[in-house]
Amino acid sequence: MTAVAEQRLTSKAFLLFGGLLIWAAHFMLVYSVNAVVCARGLQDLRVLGAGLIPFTVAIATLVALAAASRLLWVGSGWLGPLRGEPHDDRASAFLRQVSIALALLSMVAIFLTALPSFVVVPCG
Amino acid sequence: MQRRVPDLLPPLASGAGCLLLTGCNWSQSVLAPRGSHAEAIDGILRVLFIGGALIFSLVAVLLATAILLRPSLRAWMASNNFIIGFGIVFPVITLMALLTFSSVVSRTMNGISDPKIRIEVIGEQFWWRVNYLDGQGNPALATANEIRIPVNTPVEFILKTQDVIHSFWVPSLAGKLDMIPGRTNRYTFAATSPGVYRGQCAEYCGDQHALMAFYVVAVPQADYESWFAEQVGNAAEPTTPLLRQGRDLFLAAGCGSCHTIRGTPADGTLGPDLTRVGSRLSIAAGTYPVNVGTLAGWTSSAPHLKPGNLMPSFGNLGGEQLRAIAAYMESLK
Amino acid sequence: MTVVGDRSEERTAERKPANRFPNEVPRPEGELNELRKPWVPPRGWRILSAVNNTYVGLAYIATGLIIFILAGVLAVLMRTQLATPENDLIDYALYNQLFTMHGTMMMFLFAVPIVEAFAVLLMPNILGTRELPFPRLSAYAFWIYAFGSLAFFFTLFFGVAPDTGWFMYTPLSDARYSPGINADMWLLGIGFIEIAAIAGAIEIIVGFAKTRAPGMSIDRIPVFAWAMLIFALMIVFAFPALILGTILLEIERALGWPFFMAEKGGDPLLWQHLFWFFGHPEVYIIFIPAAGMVSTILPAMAATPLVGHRLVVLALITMGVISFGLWVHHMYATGLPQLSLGFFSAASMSVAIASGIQVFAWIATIASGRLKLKTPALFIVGFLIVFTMGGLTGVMVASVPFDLQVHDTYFVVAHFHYVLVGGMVLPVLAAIYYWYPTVSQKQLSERVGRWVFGLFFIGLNATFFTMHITGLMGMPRRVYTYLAVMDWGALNLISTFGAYMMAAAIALLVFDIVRTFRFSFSDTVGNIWDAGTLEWMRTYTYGTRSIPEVDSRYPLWTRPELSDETDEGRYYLPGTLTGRREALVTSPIDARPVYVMQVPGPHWGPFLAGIATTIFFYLLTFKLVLPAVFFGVVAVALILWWVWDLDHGPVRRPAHIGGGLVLPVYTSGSVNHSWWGTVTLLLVQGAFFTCLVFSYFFLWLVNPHSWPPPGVSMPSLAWPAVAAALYAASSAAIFFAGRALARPSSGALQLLFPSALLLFAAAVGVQVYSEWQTGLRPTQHSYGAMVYLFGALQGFLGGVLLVMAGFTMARSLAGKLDAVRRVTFDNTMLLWHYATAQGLVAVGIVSLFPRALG
Repeated sequence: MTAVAEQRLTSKAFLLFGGLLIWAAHFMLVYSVNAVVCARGLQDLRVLGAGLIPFTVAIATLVALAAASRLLWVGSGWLGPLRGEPHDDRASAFLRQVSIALALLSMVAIFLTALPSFVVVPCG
Repeated sequence: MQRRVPDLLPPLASGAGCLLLTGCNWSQSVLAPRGSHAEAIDGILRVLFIGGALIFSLVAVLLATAILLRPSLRAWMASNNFIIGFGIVFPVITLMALLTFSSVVSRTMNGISDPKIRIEVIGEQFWWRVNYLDGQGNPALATANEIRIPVNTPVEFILKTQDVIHSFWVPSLAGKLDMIPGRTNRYTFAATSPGVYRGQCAEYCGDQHALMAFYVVAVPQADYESWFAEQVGNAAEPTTPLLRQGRDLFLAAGCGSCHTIRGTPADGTLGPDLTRVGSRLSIAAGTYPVNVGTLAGWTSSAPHLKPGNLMPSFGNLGGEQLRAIAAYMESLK
Repeated sequence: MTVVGDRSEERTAERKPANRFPNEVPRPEGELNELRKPWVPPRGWRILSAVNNTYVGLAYIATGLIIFILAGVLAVLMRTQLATPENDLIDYALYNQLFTMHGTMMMFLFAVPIVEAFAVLLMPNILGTRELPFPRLSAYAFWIYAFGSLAFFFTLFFGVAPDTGWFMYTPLSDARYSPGINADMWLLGIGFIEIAAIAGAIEIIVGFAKTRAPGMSIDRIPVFAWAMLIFALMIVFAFPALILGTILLEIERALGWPFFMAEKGGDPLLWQHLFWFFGHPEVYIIFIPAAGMVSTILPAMAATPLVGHRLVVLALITMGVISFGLWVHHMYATGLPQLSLGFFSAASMSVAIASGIQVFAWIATIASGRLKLKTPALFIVGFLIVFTMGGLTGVMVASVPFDLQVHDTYFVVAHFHYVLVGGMVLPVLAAIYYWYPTVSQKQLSERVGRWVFGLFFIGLNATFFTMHITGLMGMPRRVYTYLAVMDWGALNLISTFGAYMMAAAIALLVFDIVRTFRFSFSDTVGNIWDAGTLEWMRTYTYGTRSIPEVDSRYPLWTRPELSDETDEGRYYLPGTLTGRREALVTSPIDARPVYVMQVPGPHWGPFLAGIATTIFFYLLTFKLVLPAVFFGVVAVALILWWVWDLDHGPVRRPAHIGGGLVLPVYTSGSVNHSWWGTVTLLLVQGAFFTCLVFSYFFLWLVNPHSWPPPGVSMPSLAWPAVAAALYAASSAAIFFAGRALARPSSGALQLLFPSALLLFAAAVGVQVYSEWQTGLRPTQHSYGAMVYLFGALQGFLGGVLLVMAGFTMARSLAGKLDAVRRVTFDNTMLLWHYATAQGLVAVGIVSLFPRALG
C-alpha cells in the first residue's frame, strides 16, 4: 500500500457517502434556517417576492441537487482502475455503482425534504 | 358518561374486543372525531389504513408466491428490477403523494384561526387548571378539569405548565400538544357537534400520570353563554343547616388555604377552584364522578386514592363532618 | 507510513490466483502445535482472564439473553397489572419503575449489546480472520456490560430503580421533581455502559476494514459485516449525543448548572433534542444488524445467493445516514414550527425506501431459491410479516397530523414493538437457531423450534396488534391503571394473554438450550444448512487453521472443499511467525495482505478493570466521591497494566506466510490497526463536541436577549488569544517530540512532554479563569453553564493527555519506544492535536460568537 492507495481510499469513502453527506448538509441547513427564522420572528421578510424561508430552501435545494448530480458525473468515470493495478477491478466497480445509486437516492431524499416547504406555513 | 356509536367505523375497529365483549366507550377515541382537527386527521387516517392494508396484502401475496409457487411462476421476482420496482419506484411515488397530502392537512389545520374564545389550560401534577380569558388576556373565570365550549366556534387553547411536561389531548376533538416549562403552546380548533369528550394527559408526568384526565363539554352557543354567565358569579350561599355546617367546616379545616370558593374567605390557589365543583362531571381530574360519597371519600383519603397528589388527608374529621363538607361542595353548582 | 523491513510492493501484487494453493502439504511437523500453543485458553477460574473473541462472544450473548429474560419478566408483570381495569396488584411506584426498567434494559442492555455480542462471536469467522484487532478491549467492554447491567437490574429490589421513563424527560427527571437517587441510577448506570457499546463499535469498524481474508474485497464482504459496520458507525455518531445529555443532566442535578431549567435560561427541549438525536438512530442501530443477519441467513435457507446484494448494501448505508434526520419525529407534539416538522416527516418517509429495498430483496431471494422451512426460516418469514406491518405503521406516524393523535398512545407502543420485536427479536431468534451449530455439539430441536416460533409469533400479534386499537380508543402509554368505564379492559386482556404466550415461547427455548447445549468450537454440529459463508468452516479458538483465499461472496459454494483445504494448512499463515497470537491484516478495499498483527492474549486487566469501573460509577451514584475517585484511579491503572505489553514492535524480520508472500510483523503510522482505533475514538469525541456546540447554539436561540445574560461582561479578547496561543504551543511541542523519537537517548522527549502538558494546562487555566474573573458563575444562567462546560471538557481532555503522556514517557524510559516502535506515541499525538483543535474551536465560539451578534 502506498500513499496513493491511501488517498484513493479517502476519496472512495467520500464518493460513497458523498450523496448522503450532501443530503445531511442540506437537511441541517434548511432545518437550522427555519428554526432561527421562526424563533426570531423573521418569517415575514421577503426576498425577491418570495418568503424568506421558501426562498432559502429553494436555493439550498438547487445547490444540493447540483452538487449531487456533479457527484454522479464524477462518479461515473473517476474510479476506474489505476494504471498497472494488477487486480481485476470488481471492487472499484462495486463501489462506483453503489456510490452512483446512493447519489441518485440522495437526490430523491433532498427533493422530499424540500417538498413540505412549498405547502405548509413555515412557522405555524 | 356519554356512549354513542359513531356513524362510520373504520373497519379495523370492528374486530376490537371491546365491541365483542362490553361495548365501547367512544368519548376518548380517535375513531369518533367530533372536532375540526380530529375530522381532518380522520381523513388521513382512512387513507393510511386503507393504503396500509393494501400494501400489506401486496407484500403478503408476494411473499406467499415466493415461498409456495412453482419456480417457473416466481422466477420473475428474482431480479434487481423486481427490487427496484417494488422497493424504490413504488415507495418513492407513494411517499411523495402521502407527504404532500399530509402537508396539505397540516396547513388546513393550521388555517383554523380567528378564535372567539381563549382558554388558558395549565397542567399541574396531576390535574388541569383552566382559566377563561377576557379580551385583554386576563383570567375571567377560573375552573378545573373541565372545559365547556360552544360548538362550531373556534377556541384557542393556551397551554402552559406549572411543573413538568404534560400533554393536552382530547382525541375526539384534536391531536395532542405538549405543555412545556418556559414555553407557551397555542392551539385553535372547534368542536363540530355537541357532546361530552374526555381528554387525558399524554406525556408521562410522574406518579399519577395515569389518573390525569378532564372533560370537554361542547354545547350550543346559547347554552354556553348562559352557562358562562352563571359560572362567573360567586358561589351560592348555603341554604340548609347541613350545608352551612359544611361551609364552616370547610373553612375551619383550612381547605381555603389551597382552594378558592368565590364569595367566601377561601381563596387559596394551590389546588383546583371549587366555586362550582358540584356542577362538574368529575373530581380528582376525571377519576371519580361527583357525588356526596366520592367527595367525602376524597376529602378523607386523597393521598390513599391518588398517591403523590398534593391534597392532604382529612381523615381526622368524623363521618358526620365529612358528609357535611361533601354536601356543601356538592351544592356548589 | 512506516513499513518495517524490505518488503517490496510488487511482492504483494504478485499474489497467486485463488485456485492454486499457496502452501504445500503435508505441513511441517510441529507447525500446528506452534500455532495452537499461544491460543490455549486459560483453564478453570482463570477463564475470567480470557479475551479470545469466542469466549467473550459467547459469554456476551448469554448475558444478553439473561437481560432479555429479566426485562421480559418485567413486561409480563406490567401486562398482568393491566389485564383488568383498576387493578391494584402493582402500585404506581413499582409500575413506573417497571416500565422505565423494561424500556431501558431492552434498548440499552439487550438490543445493542446482543448484536455486538453476535459480532464479537461471529465477525472474525465470517471475515475469515483469527481474531478482531482489540480483544482485550472487547473483554473489558463485556465485563463493564455484565457487571453494569446486573447491578442496574438489582436497583429494582431496593426501590431505587429509575422511574421517569426510558427517555428521562426533564424537568421530571431533574433534582426538583426526582430528588431520589433513582434518576442518578439511570444517568450513571446507563451512561457508563455506553462505554462498552462504543468500545465494541471501534472493534467492529477496525475489524471490518483491516482483518478480512485475502481476496474478500469490498464487493465480496458478507452483508452481515456491512450491517455491523453501519451499526458501529452509527454508534460512533449517535451515542455521544446521549452521553452529552446524561452528563448535562447529571451536572444539573448534582451541581445545579442550569441546562434544562427554563427559569435559568435552560430549555427542557434541549434534552429532547439530544436524547432523540441518539434515540432515533438507536432504533436503526438495533434494526440494521438484525437486517444483516436476515440477509446472511436467508441465502443459506433458500440455497441461493442474496438477490440485489448491492442494493441491500446501499439500503443499509442509506438507512445509517438518513436515520440521523429523524429525531424530531418524536417531538411532533412539542409545538415546533410546522415546517420543521415537515422536514422530519420527509426524512422519516425517505428512510422507508431503504426498508422497502431490503424487504423486496429478501422476497426476491426466497423466490430465486427454494426456502427450506426450518426454524430459522420460520422466524424470518415471521419477521417479514411483522416488520412489514411495523414499517407501514412507521410511515403512518411519520405523517405529522396522524402522529398528533397517536403519539404517546398504545398505538405507538404497538408500532415500535412491531418494529423492535418483529424487526430485531425475531431475527435474533432466527440467528440463535441458525448459528447454534457453530458453537454446540448438538442442534436445537426442530420440533420444539416450531412450537417456540408458533407461540411467539401468535403471542406477539395478539399482544401488539390489539394495542393499535387500544391506542386509537384513547389509551395513553405509561399508565399504571385505567378506569373500567373506559372499556379498554377486553383489549388489554387479549394483550396480556398474548404476552403470556410469548413468555411461554421463550421459556420453551431456554429449556431446549439447556437440554441441547454442548459447548465446543471445533467439534460442532457443523454446516447443517449448507451455507456458503466462511463461519461454517472448521474453526478453533484461533479461527481456521490457515487463512483462506476468498474468490466469491459465498466461498463455500464456489469451493466446497475450501474448508478441508484450509484445515490442512494449505492457505496463508498456517503456523505462527512470532510465537504469539497473530492475525492477518489486509487492505481496506482490495483485502490484500499487508502485515501480520500480533494479537494480545489472556490478561486479568479487562476483568479487574471492569469491576473497578463498575464500582467507580456506582459509588458516584451514591455521591461517595472520594472512594469513587480511588476506584477510578484503580481502573485506569488496570487498563494501563494491560496496555503496557501490547506494542511489541518488530520482533522479527518479515517472513513468509505462504504463497511466496513475505509480510512484516509490525507497522506503525496510518496503516496500523491501533491508529485506526484512535481515529475512530476521535470521531466519537468529535461527535460529542459537535453536540455540545449544537447545545450552545440551541440555548442561544431560546435566550434571544440574554446571551450573555444582562450584567455579564465578556473578558477582553486578549484572554482567548493567549489561550489559543498556549494550545497551539503545546501541540507544537508534541510535534517536536515526534521528531525527537529518532534519538531516544537525547532526553528531548522527557523534556518536551512535560512542557506540552504545562502549556495545555495553562491554556485550559486561561480559558476558564478569563471567565471567572468577570464574575460569571456556572450556576446562574445557562450561558455561564455552557461556557464553563467548554472549559471543563478541555480540562477532562487535559487529564487524559496527562495519563497518556506519562504512559508514553514511561515506555520511552523503559526502552519500548523509538522511531520504529512508535504506536504509543502516535496515539498520544493524535489525541493531542485533536484536543488542541477542539480547544481552539471552543475558545473561538465562546469569545467570538456573542460578540458577532452584538
